[in-house]
Amino acid sequence: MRRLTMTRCIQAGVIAALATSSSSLHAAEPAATIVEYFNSTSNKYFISANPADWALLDQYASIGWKRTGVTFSAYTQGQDGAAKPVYRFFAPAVGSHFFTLSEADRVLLSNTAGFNYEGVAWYAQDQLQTLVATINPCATGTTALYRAFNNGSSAPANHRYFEDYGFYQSYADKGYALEGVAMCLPLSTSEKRSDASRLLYQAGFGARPGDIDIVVNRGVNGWLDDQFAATGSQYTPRDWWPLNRPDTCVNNTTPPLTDSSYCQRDNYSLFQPQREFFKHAINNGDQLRQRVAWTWSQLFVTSGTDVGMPYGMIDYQQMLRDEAFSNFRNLLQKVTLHAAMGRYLDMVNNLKPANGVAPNENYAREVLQLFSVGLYQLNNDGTYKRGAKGELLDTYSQDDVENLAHVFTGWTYPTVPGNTPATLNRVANTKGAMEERGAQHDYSTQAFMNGTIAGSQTQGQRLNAALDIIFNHPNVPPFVSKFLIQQWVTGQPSTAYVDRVARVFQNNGSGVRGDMKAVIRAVLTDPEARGPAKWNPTFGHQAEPVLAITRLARAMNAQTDGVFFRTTTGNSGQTVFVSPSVFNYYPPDYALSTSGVLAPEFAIYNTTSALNRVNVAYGTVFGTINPDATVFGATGTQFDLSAYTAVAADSNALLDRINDVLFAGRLTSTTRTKIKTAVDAVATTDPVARARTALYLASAAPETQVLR
Amino acid sequence: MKHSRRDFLHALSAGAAVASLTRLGVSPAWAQVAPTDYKALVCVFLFGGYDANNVIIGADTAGYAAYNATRGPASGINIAQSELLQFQPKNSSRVFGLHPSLSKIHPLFASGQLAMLANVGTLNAPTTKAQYLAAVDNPYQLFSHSDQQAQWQSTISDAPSRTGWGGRLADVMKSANGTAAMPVTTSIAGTVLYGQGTATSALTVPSSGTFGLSDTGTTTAARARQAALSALLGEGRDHTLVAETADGLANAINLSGVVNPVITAANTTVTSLFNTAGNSLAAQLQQVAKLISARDTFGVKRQIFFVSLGGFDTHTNQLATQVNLLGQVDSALRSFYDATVALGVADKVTTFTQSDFGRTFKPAAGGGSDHAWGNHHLILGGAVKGGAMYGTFPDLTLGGGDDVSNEGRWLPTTSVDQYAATLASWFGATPSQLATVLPNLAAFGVKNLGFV
Repeated sequence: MRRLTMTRCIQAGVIAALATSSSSLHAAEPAATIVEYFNSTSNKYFISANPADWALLDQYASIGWKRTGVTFSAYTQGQDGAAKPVYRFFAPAVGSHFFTLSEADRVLLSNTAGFNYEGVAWYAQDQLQTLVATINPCATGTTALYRAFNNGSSAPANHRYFEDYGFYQSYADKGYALEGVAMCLPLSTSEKRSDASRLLYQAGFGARPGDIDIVVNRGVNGWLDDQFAATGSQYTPRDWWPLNRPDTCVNNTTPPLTDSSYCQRDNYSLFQPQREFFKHAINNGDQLRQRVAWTWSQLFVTSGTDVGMPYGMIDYQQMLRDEAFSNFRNLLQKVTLHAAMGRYLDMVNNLKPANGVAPNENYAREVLQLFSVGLYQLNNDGTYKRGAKGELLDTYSQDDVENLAHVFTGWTYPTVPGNTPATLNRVANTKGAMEERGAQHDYSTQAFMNGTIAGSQTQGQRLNAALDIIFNHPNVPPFVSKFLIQQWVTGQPSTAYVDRVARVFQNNGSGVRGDMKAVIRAVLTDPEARGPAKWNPTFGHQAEPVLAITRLARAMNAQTDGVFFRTTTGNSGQTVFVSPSVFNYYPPDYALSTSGVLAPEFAIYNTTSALNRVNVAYGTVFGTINPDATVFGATGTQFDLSAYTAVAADSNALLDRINDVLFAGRLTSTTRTKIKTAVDAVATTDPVARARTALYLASAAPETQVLR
Repeated sequence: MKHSRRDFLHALSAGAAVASLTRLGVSPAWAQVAPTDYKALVCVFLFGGYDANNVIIGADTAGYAAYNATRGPASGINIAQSELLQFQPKNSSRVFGLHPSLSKIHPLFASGQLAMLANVGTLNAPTTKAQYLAAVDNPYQLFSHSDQQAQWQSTISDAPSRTGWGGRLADVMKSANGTAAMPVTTSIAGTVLYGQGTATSALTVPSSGTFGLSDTGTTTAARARQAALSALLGEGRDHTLVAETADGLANAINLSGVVNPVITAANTTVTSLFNTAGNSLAAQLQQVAKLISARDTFGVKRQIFFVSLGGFDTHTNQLATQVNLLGQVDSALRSFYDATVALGVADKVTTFTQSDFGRTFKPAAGGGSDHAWGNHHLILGGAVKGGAMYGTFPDLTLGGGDDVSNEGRWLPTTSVDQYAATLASWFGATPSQLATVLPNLAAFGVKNLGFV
């Protein structure tokens, strides 16, 4: 086999790069790039910061050399005061390189037969001894480079280096020894921008062109602090309205238009809350609160199939926003007692046993199966516990469901304002919390899971006791943590990631269980979510239809009244607030039939939605969106494409901006070429059409439909 | 013997081998004679668990008394004896009544195109009440919507399955369609496990509107854009989810050329028979009828369709909900049957219902019923040996021999496997193919219930 001969000229390359870097009192922009190659003939990885190596290897595709796409940033000589030289050795017998910044290693290997010293490869920092026990024991502004070693038992002996912690961990399953942190490398400005761009679709509804600077300047934790403190968006509240439409409540098309002209539409459909959902998601700055509330709405599902009255749905969704960052126990309480949920899952007017009628089991079953503990007992890392024969272990029994249904008796609709409370409020009112009716509560003592709900307690105490038992079940931390990770970061998180977040769920560091601010921060700042680009081929998730369109709208700097967007996702399987059932638009355990990879959003991805997603992007980018004349105060949708049109004459500059906002820095050279060809087919005199072409294709590309 | 994972995997690998042979152009012996006739199966899935206890009711004195004992007028979910649409199965001495909202399909029972299958449900093997109570070999997660939907769609109740029985049937019947680009299976109801095979997947088409890309411009810029989108489908394929996304879109674009003209055509022969206003199931079945009418254009001899209607999870307010939903089912099924007559394929198309599970015979607070198990289903079509009730109607005594609880949860006396096997046999699957399609069928003695 041909072996590459590389000489000490690599040092010349690093020094040459130095000449072009500027010195600064601030953290220096790393001037070296490390490029990873893989040789498919020898099955070996190789990394180099030397452009001369790249030039050579790029010519040797014929013998198997290919860039993997992975790059790291590094310092050049003298660029960073804390940086040390990284020494490169070559072991001819195994045809593999080794990199170390340890002076002791250098002395040892220089005197060891079989290792050739090849010079300084780049400069990097050593890990901080004070943080050495942590996952990323590196100074701020740098990130760990992990090293894994395949000892040759299943493939040729070779090291692979990683900045992506989750990808590194996954190599344990491939027979590699995980050797830990080799050194700390700086993150380049573009790597930081990519991470910020990713955070904006993980923790919000996508990046506006100006948002990325905000995140970079504040840092991830600073941005999260700002978001936790931001004033929450408010749905316009609506008053109670009778379930049966009065004949006077119609859609009055006769001018002048007022906010009550469309009485029927606005009181008997979810038009207004759906419109406001998109208006706020696209326009407003409290991205994290809105995104978290949207996620809660997909865990604690209510649906317009049964809660079609907007005054109630608005009240429920606003409650999820208000409680977005509170304690999970508090959420569970508010959700359980909200009249919209009461109506949706039939806890409202659920009566004690009488006349051969049993208490309704619906809420009792689903609060367990879907909202809290799930069907099977879990370890803290989200994997299933197994019995002696390898079988799954049920979390609860049918008896638990029936007993809990008894505990959940005696709650009625909130009394309609102006009405007198009745023995049972039969007039549907889905706004606010259900009211107690002790005469309809079954006070019998009930065994429930690992506890007992005593008959001596009050109705409210009994409900609290049941929810306490649920909340304190060991399944809740991994069940909820995994759901949040899947919604925001990756459909197939590592078990270690789930475990790390679930531990924070158990205890926020101050002894509090269920602190959602702490859990949200744990999900979003985890090394598997943050830092350099992620390379595991199953990492990430497909943007659900809502997120796909809000990403595009925000990338286009939209200001909208939301009318247009409320109908963009239904044909892709995600009509906002109208989940087909309590099982949400898609289930968290949906796996690809081809590979078994967990990919929840693919449960609604099919030939129909595939086309619709692309067509919605086309209509948004190329269509004209005028104000809807039937909507009082309609402003339509305006896009500000100036960030793109300003540079659109230069298609590469245009694609740099698209890469920043929609590709989160992952635009490859081949994908760039394909979009560029289409952009360049439009005259440079038409910058708007050039920008639109790039935005449409970028949004339609499978590489941006998948978020990673 | 627990019949399960190992046998299933064995069956799957057999299916995969067959699929790879056909991909190479080598057909196994049993598939060498391509069928010349056309046949279609249409699965109507009633999501939520429809309460057939109020759909098929004993209408003679003894039968109604048994019903009335638990679901009397005070129960909140009573249907009066006088409202029942009576029918007399030719293979029974008993008289039954259909829910009054099924008036349009009711005459098809007497004329012989409609049959009932009583108390069918998910089972791993024939099971007695004692075996159920001892948890000898019960389906996993009885009474859970998601799990029971998956088991009805897959026929596999001992462990989660990644394929459905429609998809596996499509795998073995695919060769009947020769080189047709059109997949065997089409869903008008989104992504469903039912249509997922080992070697085949379902095409999904909308129930209305167009099926194709909006960007159809012919300017230089538009053509460059279209070419770029096409090229982008080949990028980033080393990522599993990117490749899956691209494959779905590529498949859709490829098929839109043949499908879109069919579903956007006026086709008044079909559309004049349907009233789709406020009836999603009718819109879906109208789309199925349009696709069937184009069977020669597609060049297909075997098709499997999946349509659905949701909202059957009637924990409360069941009476009004069922009137609404069953009315839609009735109208849609009748229109669809009439369309198959108009298209000359009435005896080539068999339509059947499935649902998550039956519901407790004992009412639940709020005028509803809770999750249960065995349920009654409808089979409709010109090839159906109608006018009869198949299976065994349960003893309606709460806590009785057929109730595994005290709330009226019927222990199924017929399995989903047997139900599916009967349909698959009619569709043309050979006994050896049935073993592949329905890996759990061997656990049951009767492989063909004889209703079609």
